[in-house]
Amino acid sequence: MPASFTDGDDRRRDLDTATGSPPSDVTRQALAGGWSGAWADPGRRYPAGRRARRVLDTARASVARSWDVDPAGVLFAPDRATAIWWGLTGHRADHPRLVVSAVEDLETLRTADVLAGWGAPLTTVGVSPSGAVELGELSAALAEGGPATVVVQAANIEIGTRQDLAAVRDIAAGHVLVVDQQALAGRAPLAAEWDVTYAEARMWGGPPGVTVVAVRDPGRFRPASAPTTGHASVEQTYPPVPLIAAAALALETPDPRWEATADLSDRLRGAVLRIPHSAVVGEPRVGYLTMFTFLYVAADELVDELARRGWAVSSGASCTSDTRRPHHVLVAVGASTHGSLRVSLGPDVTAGDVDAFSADLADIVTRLRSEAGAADL
Amino acid sequence: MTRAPDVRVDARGLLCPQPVLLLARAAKTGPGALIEVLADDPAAATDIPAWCHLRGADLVAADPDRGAWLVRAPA
Repeated sequence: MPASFTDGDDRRRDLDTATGSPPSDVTRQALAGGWSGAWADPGRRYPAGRRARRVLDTARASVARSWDVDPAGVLFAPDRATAIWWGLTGHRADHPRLVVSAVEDLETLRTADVLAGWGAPLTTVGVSPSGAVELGELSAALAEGGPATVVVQAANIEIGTRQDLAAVRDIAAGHVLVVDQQALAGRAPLAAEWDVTYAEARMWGGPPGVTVVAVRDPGRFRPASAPTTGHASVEQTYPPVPLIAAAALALETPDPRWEATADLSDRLRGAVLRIPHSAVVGEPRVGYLTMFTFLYVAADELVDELARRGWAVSSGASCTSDTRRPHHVLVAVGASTHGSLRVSLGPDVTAGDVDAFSADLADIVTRLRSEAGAADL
Repeated sequence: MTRAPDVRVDARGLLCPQPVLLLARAAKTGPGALIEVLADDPAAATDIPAWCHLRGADLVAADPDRGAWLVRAPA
């Protein structure tokens, strides 16, 4: 067995679980079986095709139970971009207007821009310094104009802020509510307030290549054809049934240790906030994730230095080297963008790991500041 | 911007976190001083107000389109 992603040290030093979890043991076992038994095109009428169809139907029923939706409303997209496309266009015949929070992920905002270019009226709703959608602004946006497709994530994958979806649902009554659950799926109880929702299977230890989309009213769900292929159906032709079956199985067996990441994150914040000129962005947060900022430090250097000591973390994509533009979520909340560090814990991380990481981090921040001539600031 | 600044920090051409670093340096040198910051790094538009908030400085005026900010250093 290759040691790479199953290696315990890798997992314990993986503080970037918001990017995705490694495939779980259940997933790897299910994949091995799936490739021999359910490889065929489920649309075919011969035995191998029918076998694949049965496996696909079982997976669909399983996801439907987990996400509390009718099996007919469970769809499998090949990637997040497709899921977002389906979500934003699925109800556009009756709800053509788009109202989107400013802290949705970049793919969502870009998709909204494309649709605005096609003539869909688009309103972006701002957030508070904690990252919470401004509910008054949302009400105002919905008060004028007709039925809208409202796009608000359950929680933010960069800064962890959870949205008050019960309040959003009330305000958006009569409109279609599209809820991205990427930050919650497999790690915390899912939100129930949505008309369309989606998350990538790799967030709960499933395989890459499967994004689950759930729809309350599949009869009215008619996504626009994709601009690249013209393919208009929400059924993939020849879907990867072994991947989908593994994703469903992994969803049935969530890792209970995710719960402990909330206490470990508290421990982490307690230690890290002792570093001078450090701050935490986002409130209230999902338990496993914290966005820190450190003044006078370049995020990329911080990430590289931590990587040199074996830690996997993300800079929250601030100051992305290709554009030099700060991350849109940090801009939306008005946070300091340059020294941002996203630390997302996973089930294999221990208190000892958190303490070791905090010590390394304090060390590196001190040294980088000293090198930048900022030690006395 | 009604009155002349005491100090000018020209961080044009410098990338984050340099503009904020120079601002912090100027604020430390002259407590209570009125500091004009010039910067063209796109991150400055977010980072300078955020720095003021975190360090208890007063953001007197902001003109991100022109790349100019006026900051009152903490006393």
